Amino acid sequence: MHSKYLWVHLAILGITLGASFLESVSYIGFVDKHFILPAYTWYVLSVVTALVYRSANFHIAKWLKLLSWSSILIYIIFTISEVLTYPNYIFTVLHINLQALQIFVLLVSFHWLVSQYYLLNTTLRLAKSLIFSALIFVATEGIGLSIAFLIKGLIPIIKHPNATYEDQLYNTHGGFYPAIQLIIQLTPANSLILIPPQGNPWEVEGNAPIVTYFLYPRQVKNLETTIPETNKPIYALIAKGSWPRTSSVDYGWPKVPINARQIWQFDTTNHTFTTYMRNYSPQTDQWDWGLIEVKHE
Amino acid sequence: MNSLLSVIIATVFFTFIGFPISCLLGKITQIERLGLSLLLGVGLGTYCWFILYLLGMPFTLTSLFISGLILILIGLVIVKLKRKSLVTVRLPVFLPLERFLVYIIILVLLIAFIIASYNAITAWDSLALYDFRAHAIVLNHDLRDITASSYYLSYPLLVSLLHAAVYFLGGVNAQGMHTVIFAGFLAIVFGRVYALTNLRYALVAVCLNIFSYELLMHSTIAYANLPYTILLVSGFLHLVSGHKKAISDHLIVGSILIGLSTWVRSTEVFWIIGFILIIWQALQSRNIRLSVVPSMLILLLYSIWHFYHAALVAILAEPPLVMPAFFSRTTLNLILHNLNKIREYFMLYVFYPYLGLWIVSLGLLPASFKLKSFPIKGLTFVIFASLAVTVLGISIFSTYFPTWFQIGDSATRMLMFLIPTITVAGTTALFGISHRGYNEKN
Repeated sequence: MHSKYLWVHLAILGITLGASFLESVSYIGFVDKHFILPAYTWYVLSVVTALVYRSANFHIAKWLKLLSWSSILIYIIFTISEVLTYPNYIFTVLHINLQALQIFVLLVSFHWLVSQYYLLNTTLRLAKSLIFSALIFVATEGIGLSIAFLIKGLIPIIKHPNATYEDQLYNTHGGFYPAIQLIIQLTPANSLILIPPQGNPWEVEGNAPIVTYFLYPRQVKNLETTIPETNKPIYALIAKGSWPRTSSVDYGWPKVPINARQIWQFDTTNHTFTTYMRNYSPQTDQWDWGLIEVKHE
Repeated sequence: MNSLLSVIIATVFFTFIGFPISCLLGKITQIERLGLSLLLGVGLGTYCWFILYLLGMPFTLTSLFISGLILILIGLVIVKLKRKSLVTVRLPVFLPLERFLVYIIILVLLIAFIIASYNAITAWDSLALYDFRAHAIVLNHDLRDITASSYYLSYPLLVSLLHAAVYFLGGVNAQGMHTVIFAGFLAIVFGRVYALTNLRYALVAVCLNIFSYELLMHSTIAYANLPYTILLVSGFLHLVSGHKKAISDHLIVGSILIGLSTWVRSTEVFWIIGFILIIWQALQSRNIRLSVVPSMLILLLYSIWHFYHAALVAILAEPPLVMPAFFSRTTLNLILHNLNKIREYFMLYVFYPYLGLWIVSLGLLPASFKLKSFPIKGLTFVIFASLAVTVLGISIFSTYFPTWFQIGDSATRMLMFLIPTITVAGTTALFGISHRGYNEKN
């Protein structure tokens, strides 16, 4: 009876780990599609048989321990590689599905642990194995992602250890931040700055709270149909659109002529500008970055 | 360099002003006392600064200093009244593995601090909201441009005032403060788990938290999710930690921390679970009076911002968001109509992102029934009550917020507090099962 039970347990364990491994090298749902029963049915069944089978078997425990540690190590290495390269890197190169591999790690760890705690009563044995293996599952993913995150975060620091806060902003916000610096230089603190509507391709320069952050205490407003009436000096941003175009809206803003005292074309690479004393026309003046000093009507 | 110095000065200042109130707990480890002092200092210090502003003092370094003095005085009076004597729990000798874990923890924290301090603040919400408000406060010494828009009022001020303190001290980047308060939180995790288990388990619990990608990543950016998680979970950990003699002190400290979590994010309602924990413990001790002061503290800390916010929003010209009657037949019908979408949302943003943690929680259920340990029962209750609140919240949210399905990431971030709650509960339960019949140390 005892050895018969062992074989049943071993058979179900073998099928379970096999199913999980198959899904690791294909996709989640592969077993369900090709082998009648979904993989998780086997997973649940193996948990039940493992709990029922209560004898010590050091050979099985030894192999499960080995398999568990190696799959944990492999999973961590794969996660780090994936984060340091590009999403889906491991699947592209090795055809291994990381999500499914994580479930494999969980199952192997659970079966290894449950085989260790055969002296505990069933409820506590289930609780301990489940908690421990799930914490391994959580830690394995966390260690991989965290190590990769720290490496990724350290690389720019090692490359440019003396970069200032300003340098960081120039690096992160490309043409936008230099344009903002030129606007600060050209406009008084009490002015109203009109910006494009929020949306593609003006995701950053059309986002009023973000632009306000950089231009404060200047007031920032998305221009709707007409120039608002105010006593403040009014300026309008000229922006091609710094995000790749994904909608039907074309690059370039403002799209209508605006009466102006002067307009400035920005050279964000050299932090300089060229002044033109004329009205703004969308036909000739839709530059990457620039500014219009709006004439009050 | 200025930023580093400002962050260090701010850390020392907040730890110093939080120290007297941390003395409410007579018997904890030194490392936990430091972490607790920092969190109490940051939370209560900024809150007191805000109250002084309401009373007519502009936001300046002087008013921050005065709020610190007030806090120290309050702390000293409480300690005097309670006649507390400090007993430091001594740690045993560290074995090589434990020393290795300590080195790893210090190394990871140091790298995270360097990354946070080096990188500019670029995350959208931190720029547009938290850090903007800090700069506006530093420039104007008041809230004039913040109170003009409901957007800027959408979250309480803790994170912004924390940044403002660093900027007043001459810093240009306050992001490092987020790693510092994360370190303070890890000290509390260590202290609480050590009180319930042993050195190795406590260090493992800290490692599980420091190697949680979400927590570590958030410790290097200036979002409000991590400070919220830190205060809420520290509160829960203290609420379940009470041991016969020290129960009222832990309940008071826990309730202050839970109340302070509403000073970071006030719309989430997980603080109500704290209430239930307090009443549960009071009933268990057959002394309902135990729950009075802690409950009042939570309510007080919640109410001041809540009423201030409500009064300001009422006079703004912006159209308010129309909320449904939560328990009406219409709401119920709408929920039933959205049921498939709600299920999909739940799986995508609540279940799968925390799959491993939900499995730990599944194991905690039988463990909490079998083990006679209130901390494990209490934390398991917190986990499943949070799950219930989340499901209910998502269901109601889906009935009145048109783009609810598109902002699932924020639901995932909102539940970040489950990471430390579940890992601490899991570690403690593992110890409990392995050492059945163990006694908690304090």
